[in-house]
Amino acid sequence: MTESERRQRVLARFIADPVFEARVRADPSAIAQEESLSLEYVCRLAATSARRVEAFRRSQAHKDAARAGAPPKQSGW
Amino acid sequence: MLAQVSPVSVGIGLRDPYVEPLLALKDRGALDVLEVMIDDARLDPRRLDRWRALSKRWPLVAHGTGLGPGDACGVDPAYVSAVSADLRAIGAHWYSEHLCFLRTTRADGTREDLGHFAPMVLDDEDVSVLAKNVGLVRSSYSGVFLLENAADILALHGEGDAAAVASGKRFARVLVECNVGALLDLTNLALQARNDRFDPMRFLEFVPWERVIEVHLAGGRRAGDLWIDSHDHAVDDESWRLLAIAAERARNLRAVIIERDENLPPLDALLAEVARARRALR
Repeated sequence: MTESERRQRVLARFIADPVFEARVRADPSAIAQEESLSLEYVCRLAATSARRVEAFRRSQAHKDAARAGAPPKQSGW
Repeated sequence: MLAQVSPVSVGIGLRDPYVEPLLALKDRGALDVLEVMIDDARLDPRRLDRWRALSKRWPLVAHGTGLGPGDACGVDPAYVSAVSADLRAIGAHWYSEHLCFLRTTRADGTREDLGHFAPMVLDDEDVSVLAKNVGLVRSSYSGVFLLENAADILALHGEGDAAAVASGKRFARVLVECNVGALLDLTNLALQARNDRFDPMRFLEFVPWERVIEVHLAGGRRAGDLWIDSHDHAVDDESWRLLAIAAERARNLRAVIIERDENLPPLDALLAEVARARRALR
């Protein structure tokens, strides 16, 4: 698995799993080691404000609802 | 092919409720171009017939949301092949996608769809991923391919002037190294700049303007202390201001598209925005 793949997998998990998000914030070094990722990238995630993560999740949920509910199209958000 | 949509066409993002009003529109000159959401054809192939009917009145360009050009796990060749067939079927003048990743591989090897445009670091490895995936698109679709600056609510490149410089430089690098055109979403930029506290002009300093083929304009909304690129309001003043700047710099600009996904107004309201964009381009 490449560094890009590992980064993307960790970002997806960071968004999807609040427990993992908390671990990233609490100990970026441990996550970097566990996931064989650069510490710099994990620190970037750890520094992402909770309100931004929440906004991303809300937007995800909004899109899921739009897709399930009908007229698809959603572009930018 | 681009010459057929020239010098600068202005139009709207086509959504289903506008199909009938557009087919009935007497003033064909009220807009110059329509942008279809190409992934919608895969959800309901009957849309292709409607789009073909509309293509007799206006040129079509295509915008995608399902490719994931930055997916490090690779884009799906079957998806690319299906989209390419749809692009050819409607005679799309070009195809654009978002600079982002959409899918990743779980620990058990299965793929996970984030259902949202996710930001990339855009280092050497990410650029290689993009180039490889764009190459796959090119092997199936011979038309012009554009990448759009997607909004990043996570602010992966940080905040302030350094974020503007980093994201501007990296966007430019991707365009050049993947040899693709740019879809410059000025509203994404305006809202990103507001959220991340930078001057959008700093980002624009790094844009390779000769590659800018298309511009998107929309209206976002405020959610708490963040601006969301929600496409549910009229185009905001900052985006109009940036359009005037882009119009001066982007000599290969061919289309400006007004996007609206929710809170859809009557067609006339969007056509009024088309008219305003035309005035800004004079």
